[in-house]
Amino acid sequence: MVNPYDSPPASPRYSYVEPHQRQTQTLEQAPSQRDDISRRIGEIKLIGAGPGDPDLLTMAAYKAITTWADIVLADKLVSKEILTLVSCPLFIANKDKGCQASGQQELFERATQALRQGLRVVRLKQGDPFIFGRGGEEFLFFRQLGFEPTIVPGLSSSISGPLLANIPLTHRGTASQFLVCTGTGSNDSIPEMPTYVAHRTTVFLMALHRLEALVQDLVELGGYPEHLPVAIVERASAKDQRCIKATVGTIVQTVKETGYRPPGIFIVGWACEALAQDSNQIQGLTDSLASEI
Amino acid sequence: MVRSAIDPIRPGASLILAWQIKHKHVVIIGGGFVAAGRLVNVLEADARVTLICPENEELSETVRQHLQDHPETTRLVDRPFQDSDLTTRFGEHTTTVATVTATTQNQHSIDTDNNLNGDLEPAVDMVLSAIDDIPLSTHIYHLAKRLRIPVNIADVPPQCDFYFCSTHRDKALQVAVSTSGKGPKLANLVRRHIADHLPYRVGDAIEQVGVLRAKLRKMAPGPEVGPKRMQWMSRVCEQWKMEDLAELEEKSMQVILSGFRDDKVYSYDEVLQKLRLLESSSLSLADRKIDVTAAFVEQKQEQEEHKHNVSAQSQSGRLILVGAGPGDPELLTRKAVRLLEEAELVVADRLIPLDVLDLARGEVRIAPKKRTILAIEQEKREQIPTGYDSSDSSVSSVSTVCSDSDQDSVLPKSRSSDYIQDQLNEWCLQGLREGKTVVRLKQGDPFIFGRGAEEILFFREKGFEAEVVPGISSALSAPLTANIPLTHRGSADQVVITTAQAKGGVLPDNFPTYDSKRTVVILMGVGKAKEISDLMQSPKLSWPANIPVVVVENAHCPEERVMDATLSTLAQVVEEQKAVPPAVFVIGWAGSVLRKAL
Repeated sequence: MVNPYDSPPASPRYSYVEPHQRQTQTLEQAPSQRDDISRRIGEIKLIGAGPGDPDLLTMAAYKAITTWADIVLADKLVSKEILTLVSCPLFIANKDKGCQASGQQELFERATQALRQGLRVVRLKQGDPFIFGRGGEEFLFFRQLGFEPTIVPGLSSSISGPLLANIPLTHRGTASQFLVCTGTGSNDSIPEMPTYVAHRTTVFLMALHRLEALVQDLVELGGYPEHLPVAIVERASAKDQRCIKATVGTIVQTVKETGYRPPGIFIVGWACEALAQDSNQIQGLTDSLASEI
Repeated sequence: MVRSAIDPIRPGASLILAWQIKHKHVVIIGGGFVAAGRLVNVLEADARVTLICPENEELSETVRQHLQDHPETTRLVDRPFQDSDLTTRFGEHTTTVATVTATTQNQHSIDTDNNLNGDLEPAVDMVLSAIDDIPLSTHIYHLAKRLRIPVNIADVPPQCDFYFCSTHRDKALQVAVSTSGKGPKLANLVRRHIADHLPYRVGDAIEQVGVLRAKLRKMAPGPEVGPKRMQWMSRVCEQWKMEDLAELEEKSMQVILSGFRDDKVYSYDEVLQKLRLLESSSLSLADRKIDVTAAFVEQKQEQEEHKHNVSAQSQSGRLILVGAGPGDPELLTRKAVRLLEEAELVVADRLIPLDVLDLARGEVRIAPKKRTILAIEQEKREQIPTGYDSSDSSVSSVSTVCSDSDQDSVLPKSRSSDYIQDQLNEWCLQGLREGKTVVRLKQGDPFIFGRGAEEILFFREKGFEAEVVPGISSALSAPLTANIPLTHRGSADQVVITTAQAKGGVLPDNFPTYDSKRTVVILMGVGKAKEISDLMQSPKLSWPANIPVVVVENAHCPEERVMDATLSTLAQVVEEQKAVPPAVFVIGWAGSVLRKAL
């Protein structure tokens, strides 16, 4: 089938390619067979892959992994559906518990090697590279190496997750600001709890494995009222996306009943109920809305 | 050189087109016989008409009756023409009599021209002048030209961008005869001759073929079957007699359509036979219809399921709120691109760049300019000094479904943005009621200060459940383009995104307090740099004076600019560098992590 998105690049910022280079290249050719390779200088793009649905890739990301890159270095968290689009060698960093450091090290080594060979490298990260993606650290690494990365933003699950569950992070009269934070700090520390602000929606990432302790902190340290609506959005944008709705006071019990399938985000604030249908206002599970879009 | 036989070009003709003027704004100047003809023409094409004519002077009885019969789509402006009539939107004209008369206005036309700088925006899609005052109509012509509005000045062919044809109409069939302005009377005779020789019931036949085509499209959507669809339809039209086509009804259409899958066109007799068979068998037509659709579904398994649901279910419209991201078409999601291509109507925010709108294949409507609206509002306020209380809400339908806390609205809100919002909602509703797929294209992300949730509530009340597609919010991508990680190990582990515009244009009272690992992104703060700086350094919030503030102006656009400041120098930097909206402030220690080394 003809791909309708193979239109010529519209934006020089994310897709500029020397015309004379592109003409002689085809995807079938291995990188080493491409002409002018020795004279080329390596390039790197730090790209956000969005929440997981390949449809929610940006055009810039889609073009980069399908036609631009010589090698793609991805995290394990990037969805399979997106990784199958990659049409060049693909390296997936092993960041299982205990291997995070070595996995990251190996990824840096691969990238360094490829860049020094003059290849085009895509570093593909879940969500947005600069929202809890540690993109800043990688940016500094590549800059020190002498390759200034181009950054392509992606849909952060902290923002698109609530949307896909029909929860507006801001809403007139309900929320004029939102806060995104993590439930787990570096080295598994517990970050300071932001205090309750009525007109604010708070999104916690990486928090669900310690939900009970977090909810306790919300009430005791943050002053969040027990009847404040909360929501958990699991596997945002995936086919099996699920949204669990409850209140600060009931969420722990609700999750004990429904179980929990990572990854998920935890949303706290009045906005959680802003778009609730009257018929859906039963506490607990609501069906995924995302698959309908 | 060998030349193949081609038809020679015969210059000197007019280009005959069918103008889609539906819901668009036409201004007619004059109220006599010619104006009446124009009025009928454009009303039949579903336009919205402002007719400018002093009521007691020249308004003919025909015009008066048409205006009375169409109160929704017509407005009478009871005074002579004035320049602002071409920059005023439908329904916004005032009847204030201009202080200058028509002729003196014309003498001042050079001054007027000078005043018509780039700021003025046409609010009219077509101008039809039907008055005898030659100097005034010439002035109208120049004004329309300056504003790039297509114009027709009756009886002055050189001042016409287009001529009216002599037309014959039978339902959807329109026959137009043009003599390129040379012989209007002869054109009428030719038109009558043609009309007399048209096939019997051709108008009905066309209507029914239109219905059949629409049904076929719903049954077999998708561009890949486009050629097959077209070929099959033309065979139907060729093989069937005009009067038989005119007789087509729901049942017989289903029978014809059932032949499409095998690329077969049943004849009139075959259809009659099948209908009789159907009626005698127990198989109901509803089942039959589903069979047809289901059979087709199997053929195209790779197509997404929701399309079928839409095509099989109903003809009612579909509304999708789509985030357009920060402006760069490369930052659209693939889904957004696909929906733009599929949509029959795209209703877009004002700031969305043309590069993005170019992707749309259907009709595109863009939000009106704020400044124009503000001017109208001001004009109105001057007229009706008591009519406006700054605290009331014109979006009453939204207010009623909002929570009771709606009264202390905290999001930026002004009369003009409510007005624009109403207009956009109305356009979407129009499209939905016509059964169209409508994309409401929103800057950034629909749920991040995009009023998307309000729209969902509004349309839900009208019976339409909108879908939402996320986009990249500039609140997040603007910092990124300036190389500011909103979170960074050791520097920031949380980010607060807030607006600087609360109700009444003041700063919200819930600005975030200082936390050394917190990044704050402030939207719409350019005009309030001093206030923000003071408030955040106050003992209550206690942000340090030397914390980095990065101002990102016009993120992702060619004019993008990034300015570095600290909390204490913010106001000074904004003033000296003349920062303009749209811009975001990024406040926090993470701001300096990657920028230091630049």
